[in-house]
Formats: sequence, C-alpha cells, structure tokens
Amino acid sequence: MYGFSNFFNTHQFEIVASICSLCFMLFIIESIRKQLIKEAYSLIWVFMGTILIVLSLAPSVLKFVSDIIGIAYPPYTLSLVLITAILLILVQYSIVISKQTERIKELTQELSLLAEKMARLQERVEKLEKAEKSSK
Amino acid sequence: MSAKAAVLVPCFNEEENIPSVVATLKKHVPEMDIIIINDCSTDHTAAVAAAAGVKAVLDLPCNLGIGGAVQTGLKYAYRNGYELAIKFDGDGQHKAENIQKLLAPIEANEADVVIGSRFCAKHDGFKSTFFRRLGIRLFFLVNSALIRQMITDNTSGFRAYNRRALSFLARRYPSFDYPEPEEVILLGKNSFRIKEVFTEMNPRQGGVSSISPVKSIYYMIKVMFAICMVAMRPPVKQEDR
Repeated sequence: MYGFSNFFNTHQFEIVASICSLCFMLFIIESIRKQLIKEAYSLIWVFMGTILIVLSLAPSVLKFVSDIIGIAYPPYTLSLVLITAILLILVQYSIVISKQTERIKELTQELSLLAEKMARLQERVEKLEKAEKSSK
Repeated sequence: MSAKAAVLVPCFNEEENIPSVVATLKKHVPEMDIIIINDCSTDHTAAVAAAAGVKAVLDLPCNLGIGGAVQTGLKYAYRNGYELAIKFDGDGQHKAENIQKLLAPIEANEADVVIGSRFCAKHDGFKSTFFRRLGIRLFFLVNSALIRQMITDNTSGFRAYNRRALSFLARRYPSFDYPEPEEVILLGKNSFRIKEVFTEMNPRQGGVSSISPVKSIYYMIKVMFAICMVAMRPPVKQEDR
C-alpha cells in the first residue's frame, strides 16, 4: 500500500493526464463508431488524442519535448499542446463553416431559380391544357 | 436598342416601394425585362412582387444578404441569355430615366461595367452622415489606388453589366453584406473596363436603409478588410472564367 501511495504521489500528474486522455480517446472513437462525427472531421481529433496519450503516458517524451522548446515545467507543455490542438481545430471549423455557407448560398439560389422556372412551366402547361380542352 | 436586357431589382422588405419602382421602370425602359429578387423578406414583398406583373420573381427561401440576392439575379440573366443587365435598387433611390445613360458606354463598347455615380460630376451636396461621407472618401482613395483608376462612387449599387461581366459575376459575385466596393476591386483586378456615369439619386422613399449611421464604422472596417483580401488574390485565370 505504501508503495502505491508513493508511486501515486510522484506520478500524480501523469496518472491523471493519462486517464483523462484515454477517456477522451474512447469518447472520440465511440462517437465515430456511432457515426455522430463524420470520419473526415474526426481524424484531427484522433490525431490530437494520440499525441496527448503518448505525452501523458511517457513522461520521458514529455520531458524531452519540454527541453526542446525550452519549457522548464513539463505539465505546461501538455497544456500548450492541448491549446494548440484546440486552436487548429477551431480554424478547421471556420473553414468547414465557410464552405457550408457557400454551399447553402448556392443551393438557395438554385432553389429560387428552379421555383421560378417551374412556375413558368406550370403556367405554360395550364395554357396548353386549356387550349387542348377548347379544341376538343 | 436591340440587345436583350434585364433589370435586376434586389428587394428586402420593400413592399411599399415595389409598385412605384416597377412603374417607373416600365415607363422609362418598357423593352427591358424586370427581375425581382426577394431576399426572404418578412413583409408582403413576395405577394406585392408577384402581383407587379414583371418578367420573373425569384423568391429566396433563406435570407442571403444583398450579395447573394444580386448574384441570383445575375445567374438568372446569364442563364437566360441576356446581353445586358442593370442592377437597380428596390428602395427607389435609383432613377429609371438614367438607365439608358448607364448603358451608353457598354453599347459603344467602351466599358464592360458602368457605375452610376453620385460624385463624378458636380453635385449639389449629397446629404449623408459624417461617417458615411468619410467612408465614401476612403473607398475612393483606396480603390482608386488599388486598381489605378478613379472610381468616385464605390458604394453605388446602380450598375450596368455587359455579357462578359455578367458571366464572370454570375459565378464570382462577392457574397458579402455590402458587396459594392469589393465588386469594383474584383472587376478591376480581372481587367474589366469600368466606367462611371453621373447619375442623381432619389432620397429613400420608404422603408429603412440597410446601413444605420452607428454601424457605419463597423461596415467600413469590414469592407476595407474584404477589399484588401480581394486585392491580394491573383486575378482569376482565363480558363476558370
């Protein structure tokens, strides 16, 4: 018991971070499996989740990365990765939203053009039908 | 005038103005087809437009803003083989008797796009708010510098297009809340010949202007940003037009 408590005390951050990352990953995979998220938009989440898991499970990697970018306190590196990931995903959302707005605009325009065309055709059909009736 | 011409009238909540706008158009340019684009108005614009006896009424099922509405009209004109298109505001501020004046440079093959300008000749004081005048002045300086041509009235919505400009804009009209200044840059960048013609404009007859004085500054910043972005893009390749 003493051994576990000691391990927990020295690795508290890694354990909490690992559990959170794994839960997050499970949540993402489950959402994709249930088709709540389209595969095209989910890859970036899976990618970010994998990086988070690796960094939380392997403190040596986190330490290595922190040393490279000059961060003295490794847990902060994890937050930095998280913030960067969120930023990238939000930009991707802006791109997706813009694309969808463009498509909605195109569809709206086509719809109005088709409705006008149909009204004109209907008018013509009615006229022809009337002419047909009167000629009989 | 033999070429097939369409007058595009974008409308948003203009039930009060449509009858008089259509009447003046029918009086001054009876040979032209009137196309009303109803941008999902919340009043009776749809019914009033349908009863106005025009060539076509395009009812948008969602509100797209002026840019999207105008583009719908341009698409209609392009697909139905019109040689000329005139953009004419549904609020009655443009004068139908000026349409022929606007078309003259296109018919003489001197321009692809003609802008009805309130400022390019002597004018007896266009009344507007301070910020609006400041904005108009700013657009004049920035746009003129960017496309190296004097464009005095960048916010004017009274414009005429030939078939070449029509086919280009039907695909690429800026889908923005206030597309006019951006449109000038887009056309200039893609080497369309732009010309301005002096036209007087009426004060608004009814309804509410789409730009309140308070929003003017926000509008200016937004449009300036959009203009800079368009200016930074390379011209559209010939094969993509």
